[in-house]
Amino acid sequence: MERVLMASEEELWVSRARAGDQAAFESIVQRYQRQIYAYVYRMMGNADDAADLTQECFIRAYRSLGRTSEDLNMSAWLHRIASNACLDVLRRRQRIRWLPWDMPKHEHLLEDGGADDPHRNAEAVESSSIVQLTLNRMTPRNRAALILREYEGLSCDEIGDVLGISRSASKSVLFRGREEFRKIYAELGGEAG
Amino acid sequence: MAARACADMREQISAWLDGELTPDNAAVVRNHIADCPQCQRVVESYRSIAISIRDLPPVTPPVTLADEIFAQTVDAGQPRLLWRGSRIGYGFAGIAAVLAMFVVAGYLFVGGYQRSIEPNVASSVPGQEDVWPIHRPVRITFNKAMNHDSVIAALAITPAGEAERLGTTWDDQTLVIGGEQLLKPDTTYTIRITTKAEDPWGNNLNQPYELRFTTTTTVQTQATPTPTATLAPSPTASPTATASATPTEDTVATPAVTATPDGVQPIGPGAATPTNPAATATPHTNAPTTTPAGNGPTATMTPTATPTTGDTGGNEPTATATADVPPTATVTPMPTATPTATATIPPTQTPLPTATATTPLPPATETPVVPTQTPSTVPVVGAIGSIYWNNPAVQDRLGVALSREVRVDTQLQGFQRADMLYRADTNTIYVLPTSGLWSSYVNTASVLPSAQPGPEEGTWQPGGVIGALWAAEQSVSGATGYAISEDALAFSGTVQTFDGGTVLVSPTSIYIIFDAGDWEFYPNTGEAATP
Repeated sequence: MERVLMASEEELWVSRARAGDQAAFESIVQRYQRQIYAYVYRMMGNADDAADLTQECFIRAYRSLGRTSEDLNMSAWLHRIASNACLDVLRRRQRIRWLPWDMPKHEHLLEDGGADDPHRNAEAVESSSIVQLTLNRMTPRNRAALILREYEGLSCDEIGDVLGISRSASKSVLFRGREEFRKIYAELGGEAG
Repeated sequence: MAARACADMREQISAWLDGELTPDNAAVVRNHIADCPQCQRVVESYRSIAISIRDLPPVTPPVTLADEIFAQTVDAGQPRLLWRGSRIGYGFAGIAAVLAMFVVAGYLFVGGYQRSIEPNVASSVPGQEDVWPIHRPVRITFNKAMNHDSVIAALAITPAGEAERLGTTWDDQTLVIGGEQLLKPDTTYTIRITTKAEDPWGNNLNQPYELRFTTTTTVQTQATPTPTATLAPSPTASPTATASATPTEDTVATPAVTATPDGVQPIGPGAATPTNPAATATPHTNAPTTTPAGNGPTATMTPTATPTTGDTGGNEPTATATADVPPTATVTPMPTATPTATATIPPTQTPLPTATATTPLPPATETPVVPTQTPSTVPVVGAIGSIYWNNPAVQDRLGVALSREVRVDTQLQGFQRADMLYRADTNTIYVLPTSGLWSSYVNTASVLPSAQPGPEEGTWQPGGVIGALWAAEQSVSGATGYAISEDALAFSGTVQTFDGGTVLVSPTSIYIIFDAGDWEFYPNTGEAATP
């Protein structure tokens, strides 16, 4: 039960990939692609975006591995790359959306990354789940925090690491995320609990 | 004022549920909640959010995703500016517009050339005579776009029937075979494409193409006492439904053989999911039933099932089992799975069927089916594969994989003398002492404690599900000592069930929990499977 050993083993493995060992990078892909894909899928709400952004995540990782520090936490790092990729796309879609003249005050209607996107309609969102629809309508950062916490099982510390915010900020984002989820979920007809 | 207090309390409740409050603040929250129905509803609401998100259906990436990533990273030699197959703009609109102009111009210039060149196969994975994992599709890339229908018409695969079973898809100029279906293990494949394959302009393939490769053995059974999965009867499948000569993962069922030494039935992870709630309501230990092989009673046995098909009479292949236990030991084999569903357990042993386990016999008029000689169709890959394929002793003891790996919400906490694992899917907590046998408990706690500082610096009385068991069961806390972290590590683990136990992968560790009662621990180095 040498916990120190497992940490050093992890470092060894990551360092091989960092040094350009392609087999080690393939291992990283094989090991994490399912997890990253699932996370991105929940962030974006559809399979096409999930596949593309997972692909982009690993391509970015491949390009950047050589510049990472020796104590790289691979899972957190990949989640960070995936989060940034998702948030970039969601923000871009948000910027180019046509807004109605009498723009409603509900923030979430401006932040929708899946269902309200001008290039997608409700049918394009694969999941009919009201839970996924609720996630789709949340502000991207709140959405990311909530998914990282409840779907990926990350701690506030880890969420802060992934989203590039402090631990106390991640607690606040999580709180706002829960409140936002509750509100949207109820608006969509779900039982708010 | 009360409403304001509740509004302020919500953020505290959120932090409390995440285990982010100090013990003092947590006590304040608990006291408030106890007297405030409104905040009780908030707690319920936040918890239901967690459950509803956690219970979203699992999603799996496309089978070609890894290959697409490799094609643009390791296989490309160096990173590319743009990538193939992306369906999202990613903000490179300007670059894309310029590229589009080049593409149009290029098309005009190159079109004539494209039309004139002869089609051929540029590359393939696997390569000629390679040994290839059964879960990876075959990709044959042409030097130019092809007429898909003509290629499929010109395609022939041996063994016969595989072209239809495996199916084909296209990825640009690449023909993908077997994206959704596993290849047959231990099989030599020959893929031929005749010159009748054409490009869109009617140019024929410039020469016949032939690719020959061999697939890996899913589970190496030679000279091992591992039970062979295909000889285990399927408890639910009808004989006709399982008579296919083509193994699929569906043909693999529950653990083929288990032993219950000393009458103690461990709820090992190998039992996958407890099917009897009543039976799981009490803790189960693995008692002194498992010593290293050869020393006294052991919970492992070595069944060797020998199907005899086509013989006269019963249409019943016979299975014989030999147990590595002294004559005095009580061994109760549990019959399960066979694709042919024609095996019976010899009368000298008492089958202990599972809830659905029956051993269906085909009608007397039915022609018995020769079982395939392949051991299992369930791949063992990733981190689990790295241990399984590189460690013969582990492979020996685990035997065949009974299911693919699945994602399971898991919590892990280290203790002074043990690790404790919580599997959310089975609601089971495993106590894994650093020396000794594991035991498991079904979580029955309705109130979950918060972590509290322990008597020494760096020790804690654990909170949450694990903490509830730790506090309730003195035998557990006595065996484990105090927690060495304040919180359990919550993660989405990977679990795969084998004939001889269960493997659970955390981000840093691989736990092998043998049905025999002992357990092993390996660092998760991220090595991939290399069968």
